[in-house]
Amino acid sequence: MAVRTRAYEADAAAAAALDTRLAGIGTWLFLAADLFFFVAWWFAFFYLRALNNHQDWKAQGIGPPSKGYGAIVLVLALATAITYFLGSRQATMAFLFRLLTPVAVFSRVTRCGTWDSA
Amino acid sequence: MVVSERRLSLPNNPITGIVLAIPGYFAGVWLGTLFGLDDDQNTGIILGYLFATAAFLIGIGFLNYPLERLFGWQVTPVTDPAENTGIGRFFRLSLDHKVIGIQYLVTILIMLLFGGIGAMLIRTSLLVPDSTITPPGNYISLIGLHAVMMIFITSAVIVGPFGNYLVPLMIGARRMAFPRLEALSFWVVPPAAVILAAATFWGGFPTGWTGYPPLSVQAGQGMDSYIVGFALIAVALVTSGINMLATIIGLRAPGMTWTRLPMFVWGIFTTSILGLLAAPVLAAALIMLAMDRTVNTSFFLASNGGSNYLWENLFWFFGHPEVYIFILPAFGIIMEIVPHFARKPLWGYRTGVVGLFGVALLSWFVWQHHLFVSGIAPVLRPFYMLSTELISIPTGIIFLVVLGTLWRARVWFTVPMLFCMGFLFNFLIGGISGVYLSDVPTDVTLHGSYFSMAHFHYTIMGGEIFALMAAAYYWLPKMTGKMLSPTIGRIHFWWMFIAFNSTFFPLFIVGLLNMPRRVAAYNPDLVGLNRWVTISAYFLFGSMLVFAGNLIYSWFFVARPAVANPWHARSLEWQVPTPVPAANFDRVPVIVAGPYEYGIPNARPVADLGGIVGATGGG
Repeated sequence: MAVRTRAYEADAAAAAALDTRLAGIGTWLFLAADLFFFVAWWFAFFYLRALNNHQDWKAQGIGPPSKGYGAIVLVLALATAITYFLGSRQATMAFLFRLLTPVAVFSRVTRCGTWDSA
Repeated sequence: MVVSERRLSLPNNPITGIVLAIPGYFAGVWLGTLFGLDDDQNTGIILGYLFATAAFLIGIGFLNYPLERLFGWQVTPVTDPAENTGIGRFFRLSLDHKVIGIQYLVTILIMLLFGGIGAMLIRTSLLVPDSTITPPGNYISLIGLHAVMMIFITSAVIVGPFGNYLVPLMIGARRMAFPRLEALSFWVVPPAAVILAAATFWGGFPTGWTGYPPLSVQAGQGMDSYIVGFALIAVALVTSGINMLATIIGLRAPGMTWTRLPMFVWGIFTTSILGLLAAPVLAAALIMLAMDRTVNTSFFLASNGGSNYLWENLFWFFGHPEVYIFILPAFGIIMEIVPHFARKPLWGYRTGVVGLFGVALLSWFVWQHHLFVSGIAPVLRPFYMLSTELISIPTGIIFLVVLGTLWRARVWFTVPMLFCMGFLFNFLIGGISGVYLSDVPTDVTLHGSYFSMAHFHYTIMGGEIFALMAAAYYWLPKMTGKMLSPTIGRIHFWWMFIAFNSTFFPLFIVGLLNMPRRVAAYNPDLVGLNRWVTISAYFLFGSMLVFAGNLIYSWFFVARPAVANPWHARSLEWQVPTPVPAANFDRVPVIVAGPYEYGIPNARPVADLGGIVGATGGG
């Protein structure tokens, strides 16, 4: 069913409703892309685990990757979630929201988060 | 909520972007060198490229909107009529889909020039059989640079310029769903091209476009350019896919039902599904490769418990749908243009749509045909052979739809139509030779030979680029407001058609005579054929210069203004004035008929446009 695009020239409320619907569609599409991104990682994990017949994955004597990278990603993910939660309560916590915006921007950009819905 | 009048007023343009990108690169290199675990500075180089790209995008102005929103400042409007004037709009961040389409077109043509020069250097090297012109190491780097640059180009060459410009016009929308996302999908392409070209400063990369490990893990720093450049193209594919799909799903005008959607839009729709889902897999694989090169993971190193087959599976899970990302919009163009010049309804509209979806669906189940000779379990071969051969069925359906449309038609042989005919001829050869390569016994012999090289050039250049030319001659009058010279266009077509076939058909023979790809030295018995191909390739390059000459001559010397609908076509994009108004339509059109109802008595106009131009009845 085509969206009544007549709406976005009618009034601001209808335009906002259309943007909300577009944002919803875009979010589902982004989730699909995100799913395939993580499926690639899951595939890599199970594929390598299945092939690990000789138990030489993480071989002795080989420098393991730093856990620091994973820790940074985890911290950024948590910071994003917390900031988003607080930001969504902007009406009551405007000052705190603005205080935390640089954190949100940094963490979103760093984690290649989704962009705007125009 | 009170909105502050403050707004960011940085001089956002490519110069600012470049000025910020240079220190961004060095900051990344410094940081990477500080924390990098590797001795080869790969961490620094990768971070340098990423920081430079981020800084470039900030300089272009991509951070303004999020900051304005977050700080409660005045937000730059999505559609600002003031930005739609002057040539300067093409050199800055624009949210107008028409401007972004032109930006894409010019950028892609420049990249095509460099990719073509790479092809000429390759063919020049093959004038002699003993690699005296180009040493083997340089030759393989040249192959890789040409290949990856061309992959970048062909991923975007139709969707970028024509998809962005035309999809809103064809569905009756006044904008794209996510204009900033659309702009981002364009502005990551120039950094990707520059980063890829920067590989030459590091000695290139030795893997070709497929990036197979362990060579890609062990290769020099040029490989980092491949990783980051390709990852940026993956970002472009995903963002473009989200934007196109959301636009087509959510912004169609009233009455633009799914069965009235133009075939070009269907081509973009199916392409966008593939780009949206395939590119993230590539991005993940590239991140794994980057981690193998920088932080001592071993995803792909068998010596440390990884597997090069993992890369081959992930890469081709992306890589084969990628092939259809090239060709599906080309199918859309052919099925779009042919009815207009055959002056007949499209024969089998729904069948054609099913054909597009059939190709898109099956493209997910064929990737291991690229691995037939890699040592995969033989039990896997029959499935992938059959699934690959199955793709010829929906492809054949699309051919039948076009041929059925041409059947007993009084064809108007314009320049776009000539290129459509050229597409059908070339793609038929490319498609049939592909069936041979999908067959395991013949693939074992022909894999890695010039036969497969000739096959994919017949499909990509003979198919997609001929469709691109058809689209250029068909739609550029609407996009630029200037008609292209039909006389030079005809010269261009015949020159390109003959030179193309003279270049690539002999390569089937060269391949059957066992000349391997990616090798600078070859059997001296094949020197005659190779010299013929090289000279033909020079002529083919010359045909592209004829096209460039036609653009310059028609735009700047003759400058004949294009009327609103020079082809008397029914479809919606031709019903708006030329040049296209900033908001596309005065009011949202109401679609009342399909775009291909030529020759049907009492056919209604395609849309109620409120009297902007007046839809043609066709016929």
